[in-house]
Amino acid sequence: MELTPSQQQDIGLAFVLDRLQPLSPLGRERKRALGPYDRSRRAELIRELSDLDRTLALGEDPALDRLRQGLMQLRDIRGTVARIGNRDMDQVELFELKRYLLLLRGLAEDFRSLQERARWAGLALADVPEALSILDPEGSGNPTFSLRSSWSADLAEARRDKTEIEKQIALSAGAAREALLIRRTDIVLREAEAEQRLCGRLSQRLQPHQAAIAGSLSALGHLDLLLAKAALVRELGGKKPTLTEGELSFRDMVHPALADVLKNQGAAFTPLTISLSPGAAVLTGANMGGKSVCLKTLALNVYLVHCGLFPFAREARVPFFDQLCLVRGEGEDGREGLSSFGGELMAADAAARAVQTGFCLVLFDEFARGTNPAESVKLQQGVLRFFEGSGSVCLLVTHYEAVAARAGRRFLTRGIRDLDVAEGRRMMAAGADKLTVLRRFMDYGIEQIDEAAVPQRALTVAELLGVEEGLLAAIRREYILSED
Amino acid sequence: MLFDLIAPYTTVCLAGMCKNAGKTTALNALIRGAAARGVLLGLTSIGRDGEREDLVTGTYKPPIYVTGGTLFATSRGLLPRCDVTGEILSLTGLYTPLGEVVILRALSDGFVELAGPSMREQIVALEAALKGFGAEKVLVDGALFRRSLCAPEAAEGILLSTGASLGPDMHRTVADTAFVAELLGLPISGPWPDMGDRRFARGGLFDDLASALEGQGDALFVTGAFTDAMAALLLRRKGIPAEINLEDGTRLLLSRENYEKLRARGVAFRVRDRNDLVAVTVNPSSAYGAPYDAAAFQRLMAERVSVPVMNIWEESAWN
Repeated sequence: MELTPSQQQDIGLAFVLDRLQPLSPLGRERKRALGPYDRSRRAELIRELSDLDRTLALGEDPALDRLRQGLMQLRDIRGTVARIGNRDMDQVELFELKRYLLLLRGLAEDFRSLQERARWAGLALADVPEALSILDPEGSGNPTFSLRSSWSADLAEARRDKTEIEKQIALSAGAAREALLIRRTDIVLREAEAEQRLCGRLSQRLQPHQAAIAGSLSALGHLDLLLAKAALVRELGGKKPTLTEGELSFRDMVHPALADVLKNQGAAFTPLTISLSPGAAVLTGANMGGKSVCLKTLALNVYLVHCGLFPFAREARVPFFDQLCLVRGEGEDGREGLSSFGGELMAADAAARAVQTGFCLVLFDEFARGTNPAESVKLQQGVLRFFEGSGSVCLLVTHYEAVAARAGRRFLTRGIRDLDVAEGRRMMAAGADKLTVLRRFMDYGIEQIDEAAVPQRALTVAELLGVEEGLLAAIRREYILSED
Repeated sequence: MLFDLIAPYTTVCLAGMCKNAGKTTALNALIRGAAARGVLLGLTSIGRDGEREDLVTGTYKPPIYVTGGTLFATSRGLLPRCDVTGEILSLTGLYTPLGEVVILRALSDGFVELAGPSMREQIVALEAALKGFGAEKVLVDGALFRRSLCAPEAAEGILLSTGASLGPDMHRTVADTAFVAELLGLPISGPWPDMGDRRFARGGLFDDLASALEGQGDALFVTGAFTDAMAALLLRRKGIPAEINLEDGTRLLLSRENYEKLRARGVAFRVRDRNDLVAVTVNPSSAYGAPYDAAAFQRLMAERVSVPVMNIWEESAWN
């Protein structure tokens, strides 16, 4: 269920991902590769969501703190690990491996102690003591590395000669010193060759453990991302979803990015509760009443679940979707007319094809809004008819009663409460911001309704926004004429 | 001995007036001095230096010969050219064009080539890391030419090397070196106003020098570089500030001529931060031409600076 970059931007994914912050380069790489699980990995997704829940259940634990500290020290040494077995490995690479294996030993110990409580299903981490003992045979735990003379007879011999001549150099001067330095050059060369042979031997002795070391790096990347997901839930909230066979429902679902914007403006996001099942439903409501926000919030939370993240809701029941199809005009960035309509048709075409091969969530935001109302109604009715019988879950935002009447299930954004336009005008006269006033009168919650009546509140919104009086008067006159 | 002069400082930067001024010879002299006194040294460089073949002139340049136990930081790509037996202590996460900077302990005597980072903050971090591994004193093989002299935050003391390779005219070499020594020794300024991100202060805060010169007060404060163009603007005016305050001596990017003209107009330069010039070493031989008269060079230099002037070629064990 891949989304295009512009769709990801549209649903506000970046806000969430920016706050997902792994501590190691391997965790960050996992994050870059983060995307929806496809159906073949459904069991893996279930394990991941369950492991995230188990991580959160651990609460605060000193072993977790140590894991985080260790992850911060973790370097991406996959290039070095891939070279294990090569005879030309060098001392710095062996140092990197030794340091990593020491770090891994501590991390694996903390992992084991946490695992007793957490019982993570999709995670396993083990240290590789046999490899560490090759690079630290005395078991000193010292994080530095040097090639020991005791590991190689020819190296020991070269170094004995080197030490001897350096003693003489230190006591000499002038031409005698120069001559000794030249003799030293040969010894240094012997030492370098002996060191290289030793590096090669160590490298080959490490080879049987290469796969285990590579596996531990991969597991640490996974663990890092899982801990980052848990930190994200602690920061922004979220709840483990229940995976269903078809039902899609959220109780008190929010969109964290929009909630953040509202919070900065002194307002609050109204949590949304919605329940859908295979078939087509409609969402209607007043202009500026939050219908598009509802679609975005739904799309974001469904997408997050499929990426192995928790949705932002008190309760979530989500089926496994093969595709998330968003059909939105591009009117919001000013592109209207045929090209926008063409884009919508292409998206609708893709959705119609997708539901024939997979189980999809299809979201239409006022389909064909740019075309004339008479045809627009027919197009939307056709969409409803097609997707009602598709077996997938479809939600269509519409303004048309004639469309709503055809839907099996209808939702309404509650919209403007018992309105008091005079009160709104007084607030605005007192200097209140237009949007603040509108928000004061708007209920962004949604509810399921039986009748197909679509609220007619466009004029009220225009009044509350304080549209120019002459224009408003002309509009009102049209309302009066149509009643007659 | 040279080492006694740097004894009060825990970080010393070696700067050279030009190639072949004797910077590396001075560094070797300090390494021998430290060994004789049992002082554990940490070595690194600003950028790359210490090549056996001088890349610019092709002349022989004494490489750095360390004693066993010495800590040093260099780039991974230069390790094959270090012939000490080494213990790797740390990979620093700092990178140079020659690879990541590695900290090692020499387990034997031998030759090393140094290539450390070039950015001030990174050098400061590396010095701290060397001290963390036990270095009692850190020597930084600095870059050439005064425009990239050690910044005060990177070293407490500076050792300046000069020599006949700077040019055939000994008097000019002495005057140029004395000028650099003077910039390094500028007196410390009074308290600075809070300037935020503004470049100039004089009574108020300003973004350009011309406006600042309309301001009130004797003291002008300048963040960042003070250049020849600014000097020219000042020299065209009648009334100019009596005192110009800079962040440190490396910010003064002036020709000696303009500096002296401003001094003649009564301008005093002061700096907020300073590292001490510890000594000047002189190398009378030139990589390019005739040598100077060694005694005269040392004497003239000593007359122009207030710190000791040493001809380390005379006390050098080899050259």
